[in-house]
Amino acid sequence: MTAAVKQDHFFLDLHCSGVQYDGKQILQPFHLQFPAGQRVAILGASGVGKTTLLKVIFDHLNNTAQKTALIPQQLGLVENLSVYHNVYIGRLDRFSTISNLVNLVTPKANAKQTIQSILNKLSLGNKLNVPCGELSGGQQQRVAIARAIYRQANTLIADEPVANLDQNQAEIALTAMMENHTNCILVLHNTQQALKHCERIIGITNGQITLDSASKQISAQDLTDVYLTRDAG
Amino acid sequence: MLDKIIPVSKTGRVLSGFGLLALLCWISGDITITTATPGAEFQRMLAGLLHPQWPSLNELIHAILQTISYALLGVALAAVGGFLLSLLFHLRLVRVVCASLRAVHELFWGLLLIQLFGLQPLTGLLAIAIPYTGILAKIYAEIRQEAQQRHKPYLPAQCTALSRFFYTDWPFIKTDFAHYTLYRFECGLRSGTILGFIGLPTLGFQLETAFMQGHYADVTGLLLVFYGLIATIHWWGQFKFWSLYLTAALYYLWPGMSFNVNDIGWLLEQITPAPWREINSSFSTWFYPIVSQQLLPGLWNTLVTGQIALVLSALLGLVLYPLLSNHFGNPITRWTGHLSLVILRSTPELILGFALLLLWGPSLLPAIVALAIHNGAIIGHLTGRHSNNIQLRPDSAQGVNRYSYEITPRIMNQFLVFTFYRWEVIMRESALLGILGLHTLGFFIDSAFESFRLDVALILIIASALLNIGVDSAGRIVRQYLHLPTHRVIERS
Repeated sequence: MTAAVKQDHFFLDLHCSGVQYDGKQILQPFHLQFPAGQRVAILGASGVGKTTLLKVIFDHLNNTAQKTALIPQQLGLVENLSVYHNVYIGRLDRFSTISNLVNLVTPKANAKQTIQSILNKLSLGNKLNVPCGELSGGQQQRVAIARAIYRQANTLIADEPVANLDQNQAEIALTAMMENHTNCILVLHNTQQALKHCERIIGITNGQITLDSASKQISAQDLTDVYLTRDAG
Repeated sequence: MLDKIIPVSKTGRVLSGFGLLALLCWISGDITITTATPGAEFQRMLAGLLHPQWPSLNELIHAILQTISYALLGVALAAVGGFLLSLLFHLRLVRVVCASLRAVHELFWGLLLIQLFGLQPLTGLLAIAIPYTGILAKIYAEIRQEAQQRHKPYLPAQCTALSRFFYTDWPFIKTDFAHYTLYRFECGLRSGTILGFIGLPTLGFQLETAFMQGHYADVTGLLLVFYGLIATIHWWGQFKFWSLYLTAALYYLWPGMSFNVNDIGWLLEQITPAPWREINSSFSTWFYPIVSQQLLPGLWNTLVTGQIALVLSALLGLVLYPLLSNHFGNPITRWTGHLSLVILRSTPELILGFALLLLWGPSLLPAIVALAIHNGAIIGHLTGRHSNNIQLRPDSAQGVNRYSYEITPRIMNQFLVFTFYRWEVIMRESALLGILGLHTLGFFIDSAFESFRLDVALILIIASALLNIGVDSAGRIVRQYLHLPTHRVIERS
């Protein structure tokens, strides 16, 4: 399914022979190359295969042992744990099991400090010890973003990470994500945000990549086509 | 500094409170190993465990049929009685009566009924039917209430209660009723078995005899039969066979049943406190020694046993649940885990307690460990099954990190529901385990029956019932305090 990764130029070079589920073709075969340092937005109407594409990308990065931060659409936070612990989960793989267990009972001072400063940036500064279950949808989304930032990975894979945030918060969050990751692949539904923060736009229509172009060269018509041709296929 | 030591969350506070209490109980309770060579006895048990034997086929079939017949007839009677009572469950009196019926352990009912009927089938099936009526009435009423709340808005306002029942309630609740009644039948088999420990000719009687004589190979054989019955109950216990089974059970047990109305008068007289029967005796001189020498020590030991067992069960449940959770291990470890938990939770506490008593000698220790193993396996099973509903992120951690950061926090609330739901059961069983000879309430109840002081026995039984009702409401209060759901828990897999 995949070819060799040319690590010098691309952080990801992906050949995919398509994805089927229950006999239905979700994604057509494709070949995508992502140069190191690129920020990419994936656009498309709902149900066209954006999340599936993201999963293929994430699995591939995982298999090639590249450290990746993930923000899935369902966030996957642990409601009974505090915001601090939910963010800390981003680095579970970097500490020993014993140290992780101790941290559940007595939080680490330095981790607390780092996480506090990330939360401050995302206007969650006063929520460090609050259980995630008590937060609103938008606040939970920012906790998931904080976890991704805290993970300190080169690459970020995010599925509509700012869908529940107002414009101002979304700007702050997107900027923070871009600052903290060299490579980003995000599914976004707001085209303005996509054009502003990403150099490259990939459009999907009915499981097929119908647009792949630099943000600067994209016309309004190109974007409309991505969303319009859905019924035709 | 202090806020670092004292847990801030409500859950943390409650859990450390229970933990601390258990620790205090452990320090002050009578918990020791009194046998000189527990290792040697254990080796004999192990040898028996590896070479199962069976008593003569004739005896075995007789014991199995007795056990099943008591369970069938008892649960069927309880289902009818429980259903009728559930229709009147809005009456406070009915609720109190049902709570009292189920607060007394079936073995205590058995001990009481033996005085009335002697060792005969009526004793066995009524010992199951009476407490189960109280349980089923409550469950049926709750199921019906849930269904009504769900469907009330869609009904014409003026329809009669009966048509409402058959058009909306019944179609929705019949599967829940059937499901729960079958689960109770499984419990009935366990109850029927342990009724053998007070002399009824069921599997438990043979088990006790084999234990007493140190024939551990027979014990293993009988236990295997018992596990087999429980494990295959989905197949042979289905409702469509019940009319056949009930007729057969009645036909089988009928010749042994007898009843004399005059005995009721005799029993009523016997259970009346002695000072009220005899002239020239004062109530306080009769009552005071019972309280100080039996009631209080019995209550204390029951509480100590129950509280420690509750905390140990919870800990064991937390350790065991990953054995059958889809988030850990592989299909082989999960299958093994599932099987071991089925065996642990199917074994009645009384049988486990008996085996441990033989190993360690009389103290509260065998009872505590038996209760912890049985209930820990149940809590682990329910929690593990519940954890399978969780969907993890593709990047979630593995192993201990997954256990401590991802799964355990997510199942914590449901785990606490399961644990506090077992609290009352554990307390009832810890009173009962006294009949093995440890000094919880059951010991004093059993002794009172043996010395034909039925009035004393009744007072102690009432005390144990009040304890259970108290623990039941304490459990409700704790669940409310922690904002935990208060719905029913069905153990069946």
